[in-house]
Amino acid sequence: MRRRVGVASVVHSRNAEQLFTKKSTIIDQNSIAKLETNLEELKQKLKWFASKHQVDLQTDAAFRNEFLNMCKSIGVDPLASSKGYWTQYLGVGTYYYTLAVQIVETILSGVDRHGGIMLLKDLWIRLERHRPNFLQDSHISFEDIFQSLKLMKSLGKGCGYIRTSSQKSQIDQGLVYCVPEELKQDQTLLLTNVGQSGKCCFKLTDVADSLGWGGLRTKTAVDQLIRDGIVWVEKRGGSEGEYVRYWLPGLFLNNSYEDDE
Amino acid sequence: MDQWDYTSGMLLPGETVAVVQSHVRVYNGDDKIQAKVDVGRATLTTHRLLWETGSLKTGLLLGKVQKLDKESKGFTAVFSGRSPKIIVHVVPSQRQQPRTADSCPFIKEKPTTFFKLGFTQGGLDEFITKFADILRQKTWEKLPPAEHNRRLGILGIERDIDDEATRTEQKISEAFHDLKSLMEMAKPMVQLAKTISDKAAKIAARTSEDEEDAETVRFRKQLLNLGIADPVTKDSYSSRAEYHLHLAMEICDTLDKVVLDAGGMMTLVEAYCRINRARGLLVISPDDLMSACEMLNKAPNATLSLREFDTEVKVLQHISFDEDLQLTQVLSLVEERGSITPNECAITTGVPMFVVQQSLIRAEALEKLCRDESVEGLRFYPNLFLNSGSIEAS
Repeated sequence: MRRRVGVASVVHSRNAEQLFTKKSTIIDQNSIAKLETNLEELKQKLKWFASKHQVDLQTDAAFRNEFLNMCKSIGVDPLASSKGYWTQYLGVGTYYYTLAVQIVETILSGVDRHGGIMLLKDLWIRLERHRPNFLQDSHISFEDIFQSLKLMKSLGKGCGYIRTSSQKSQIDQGLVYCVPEELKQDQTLLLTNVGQSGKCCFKLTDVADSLGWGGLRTKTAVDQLIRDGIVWVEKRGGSEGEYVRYWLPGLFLNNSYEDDE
Repeated sequence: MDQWDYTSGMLLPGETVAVVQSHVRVYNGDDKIQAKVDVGRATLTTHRLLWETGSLKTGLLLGKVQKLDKESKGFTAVFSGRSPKIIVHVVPSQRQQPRTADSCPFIKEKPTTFFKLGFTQGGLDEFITKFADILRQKTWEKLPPAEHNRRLGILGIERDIDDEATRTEQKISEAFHDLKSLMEMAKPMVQLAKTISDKAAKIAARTSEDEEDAETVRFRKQLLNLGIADPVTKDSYSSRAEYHLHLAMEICDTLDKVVLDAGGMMTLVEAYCRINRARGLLVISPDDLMSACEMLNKAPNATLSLREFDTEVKVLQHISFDEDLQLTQVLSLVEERGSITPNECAITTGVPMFVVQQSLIRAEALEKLCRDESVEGLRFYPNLFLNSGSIEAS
């Protein structure tokens, strides 16, 4: 190849470089797409096997472990199977036991975000999404979820359903929790947060923003603190809407009384 | 027929020709292909099936061939002079985007899962025997390592990626064909699953919905990783009590570290989820777990015990999370600060407020502490009425 010199050479190499960068991005995207296809394929196949051969898998110990190893790597639910299958081969009880495992797993996986409490509707959507999509029969129903929660009653009040409306149509707006009030760290987190702000009064939105919590989670924690007498509420009606502040008498001595507004 | 590629007429490294037959007609499924010239020379090599006419040179990688059939000669065929045919079943194409005309020779053809070779001038028997042999040998899979180095440049890289994905695809569909083949190929599949997932881990989720799903998948991976190789089953024991005792021991072994990491306490509900994930496919019922937990005090060297709060919440408690130990900790905090509220105590120790409060109230009952309930909330002081000096737990 003829060696280029001067300005032309610089321009040429710069163009070439740009082209290479562009091409390498395309190749990267391509190989990622391919990898995802392989991964998806493997996922589907594993789920399909779990759903068709649950009984065979359960009886052969060596093969069962190999199969579980595959599921482990990919993160596929080895218990993915339809209600019909469970009922037919392993008893309907087993179906609810597996669903219970899936419910608790789904809720606990998001504890950092929601503190261990979810709308029934959200929970249901997530459970359905993790079901293998080739299983046309037996979608999960709310009743199934309730049944699983009921079976876990013997494990103490560690999980349950909280009705938020008496209307039947609003049943999906109820809440399912897996972390009992007694073991929640939310109140501690909230108090620490307010304590660090240097003030002894706060608004719900302030706390929710700085902790990155949803409104529901913040409200639940504050309500508990009010019940325990740790937080006081101040409410005033006003022309610019209602004024609500929460006070922490425990911080009166240390922190400032100032309110921003 | 979009699995076919254009070829240069050159052989690949390590590729040898097995049989050549001229006047072979290609059919897409049951139909004739749309090209003007549909009769050409078929060459079978150890790696590919090549087919060329005067104007066209094409090839199909043998990895894409699923199986061969000889078309059964119908009664009418004998009279109508139809040529004998081989039916070649191919792996369905998994491409995301359709191919373009400049890379695919049969772009106009409808997608099918098989094509046929019609032998207008004989030679079928020899061809199909060799074809079957070569498919069995799978020589194309045993690529000499040098082959990889030969492919230079960007095109080579792209091809490597392509081939790799196709090979993986094939391996998966072969292994998962039925229970028997999966059992035979279980070991390499475990490896493959691991490789793919390691690679995929580097790719970030794209939407928040993906992210939430990914979160559950990650969590599940963690849970499955506790894997119990040989879970305790009911059938192995003569009595329920014995079964539950062994289950209790399994729970201790498996969850010991997890409970400790969780701060020394875990609800039975969470334990239920974790033990079942660790057991994999052999799910136990909540009642079995409950019965097993009630046996924990009978299990030898148990590091976990069952604790029930007044509020009916049941937890597994680690041996190190001892109530007396907690009491000592709380008392030394009061000593250090002069007085303490439950929430201060919770913030300092990282123990849930409810649990801390229980310890404080217990200390009060033991006459170590005194409460002061004021507008500022509940606060505990050392009980100086009964202990003039130190309040350390005795």
